Amino acid sequence: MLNKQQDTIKIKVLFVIADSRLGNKIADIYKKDNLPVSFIIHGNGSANSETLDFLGLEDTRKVIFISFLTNSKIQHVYEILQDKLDFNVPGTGIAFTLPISSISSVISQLCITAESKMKIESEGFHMTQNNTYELILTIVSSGYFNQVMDVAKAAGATGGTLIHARGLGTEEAVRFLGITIQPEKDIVLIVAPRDKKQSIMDNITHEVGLATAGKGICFSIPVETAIGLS
Amino acid sequence: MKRHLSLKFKEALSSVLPIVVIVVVLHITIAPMPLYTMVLFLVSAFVLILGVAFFTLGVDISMMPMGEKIGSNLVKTRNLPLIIVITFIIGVFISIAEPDLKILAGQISAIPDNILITAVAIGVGISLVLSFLRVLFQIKLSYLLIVLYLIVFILSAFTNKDFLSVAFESGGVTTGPIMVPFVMALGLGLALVRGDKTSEEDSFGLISFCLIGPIITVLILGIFYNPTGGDYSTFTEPNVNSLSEVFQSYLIHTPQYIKEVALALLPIILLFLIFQAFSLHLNKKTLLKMFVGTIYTFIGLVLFLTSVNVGFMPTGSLLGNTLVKQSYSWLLIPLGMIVGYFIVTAEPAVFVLKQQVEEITDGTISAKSMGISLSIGVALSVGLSMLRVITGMSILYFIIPGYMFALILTFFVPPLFTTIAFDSGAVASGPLAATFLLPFAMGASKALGGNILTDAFGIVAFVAMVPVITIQCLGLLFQIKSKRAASEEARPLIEDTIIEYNVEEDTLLDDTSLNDNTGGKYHEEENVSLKEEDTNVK
Repeated sequence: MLNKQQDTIKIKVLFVIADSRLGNKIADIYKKDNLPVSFIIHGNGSANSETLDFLGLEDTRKVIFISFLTNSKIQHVYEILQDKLDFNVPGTGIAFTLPISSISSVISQLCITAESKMKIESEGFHMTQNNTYELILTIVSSGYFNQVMDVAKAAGATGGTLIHARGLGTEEAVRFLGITIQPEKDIVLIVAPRDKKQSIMDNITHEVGLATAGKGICFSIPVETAIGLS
Repeated sequence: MKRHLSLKFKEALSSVLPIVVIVVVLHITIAPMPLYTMVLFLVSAFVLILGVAFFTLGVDISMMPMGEKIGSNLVKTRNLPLIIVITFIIGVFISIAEPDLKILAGQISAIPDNILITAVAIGVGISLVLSFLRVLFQIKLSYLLIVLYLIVFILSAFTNKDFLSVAFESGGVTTGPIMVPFVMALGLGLALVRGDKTSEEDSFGLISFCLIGPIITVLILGIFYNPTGGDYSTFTEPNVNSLSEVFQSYLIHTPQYIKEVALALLPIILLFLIFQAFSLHLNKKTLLKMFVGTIYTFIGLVLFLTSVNVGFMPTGSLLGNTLVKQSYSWLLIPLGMIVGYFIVTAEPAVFVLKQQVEEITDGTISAKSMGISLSIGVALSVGLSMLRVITGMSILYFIIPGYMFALILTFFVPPLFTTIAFDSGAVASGPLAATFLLPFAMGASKALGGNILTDAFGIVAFVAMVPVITIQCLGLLFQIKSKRAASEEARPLIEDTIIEYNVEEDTLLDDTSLNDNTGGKYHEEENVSLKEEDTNVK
């Protein structure tokens, strides 16, 4: 059943990606502000320094928070992230929103109720607006994360986050005795400026695309607002 | 970043410090020890902190990925005979390599070292195969555990009485700092390639089998083998009288442990290289990283083992001895409990377990709550062992009801907690228990004039048993809590519909469509499911 509503307050998807040591702090903020629908995924970031990574001294574990929020609430979260967790310092973490075209009404209702409970005093807050960034999602065979990042960085990407996943392709998943064996996959999230998107995606499809051993596919989603990107 | 390194040091520091404080307080108040023994202990504590930090750093980037890769690749071969043979070899190799086991074998002179180690190695090999088969054939962990512990109870009725404590002890001791991370990673690797419902809980449970296997084989050994002499070897009492002697004792012992650790790591590395050559084919960068990690692990283990053996073993024994001699024998119970509460947090393998549990459960079971339940469990076990040291009661009076209770709990506790609980028992009984708690009990038992072989031994077995109960209790608590939360969370009464936003056509259609030469292949895309369970933050 479709419910065309033009004047409702729009809900957006907010992604927050940060060092895992900040995970608890962010979760506390979410809890304190009663953000209604949120999920956590654990991931891994790409290394910032080649030598430190080689010496194993870099903690690349990341947490990814996904939540559904209204615009003003997002501004509120952005402010907290910048003021209390130093998101404006490059490398601390990033946050961005994706537009959505439809949503189930219960979630929408939850978000709007949550907002009405909150007093917002946000004014004159600046965030990158107007679709200058894109979220590039790449799905490759497990173990090709570093290769994806290498070619993406060559085209101007600054960082990426890895989520482990499993492929459900009917040909690849096999039963073995009592268990099902499924191929491991890496999902790579890269947020990049719109003007670099094309060359990054070209590089990925060329170097680790379906024709290669990485069997990668990629697609992009426009990012609406973002903070923490240099 | 440096943050990472300093974090590891902070972790190590905070876990070792409480033990140091306790020993120093005891030294000042009721159990004065020779000055240089204290100096030796303090130096060792410092070395221990370095060791734990390096070890946890190294394991993260070498042992864990190695085990993980071997585990998942093994399953991917889908070759049952190969899986059985390889897991058996892994089990045997790792137990022979395990430094903890050597310490235990050295402490019991009644049985030749090689015979004991062989018995344990075969036990571990068989149980590792069993644990893999259990996952492949999807047999419930608790059923298999019940059968195995029944075998243990039956065998313990027939075996030589002097062997009882040693048998239970060898199970707890074998699951030490090499075996725990590697075997746990094997389990994780096994779970990684699976999409089944039970893959989460199945990633644990391997280590719990590695605990029972040796108990069974050593009990069988006890039926056929008559221990000669019936004695245990006394370790040298600390005899250091100057600062230079403190350093000398390090100089003498370090090369020995360098050799031991090298021998321990070698088989695992070889195994990994064989896998690398035949099926892994990791790139150079990853391999180099693992190599660096192995060096960290090596340094960490050498520092760790040297410090616990040179400093902690004699201090533990002397502390137990002094306490009894000062006629504070009743104090052994509360003091032992306090020491137990804190000592488990310094076990390197416990770090690995806590981290893995938090990762697998996505924070539902936090590292903190795991740590507290473990500490309470170990505190109780040390208290019980001290009671046994004082009274000389048979180990079976505790072990049989204890495990019965633990096994009954498996019927009420969520399976994930059951597997984690049985694993934690094995993990908690690490090298610190073997080198500080065991000598502590031996020193006390000696001063009381008890039978060391039956009274003092068994402490590590208790440390392996009680956490199984406490963690399952945590699971019970968790289940009650989540049930209550679920009943409170009222289902939405309103009908759930889809709200369609008025999409601004220009923003979406304007987007340059990707000019991809693979365009025609898009129908072949696989669906990809997020592996991690989405956790509700609320």
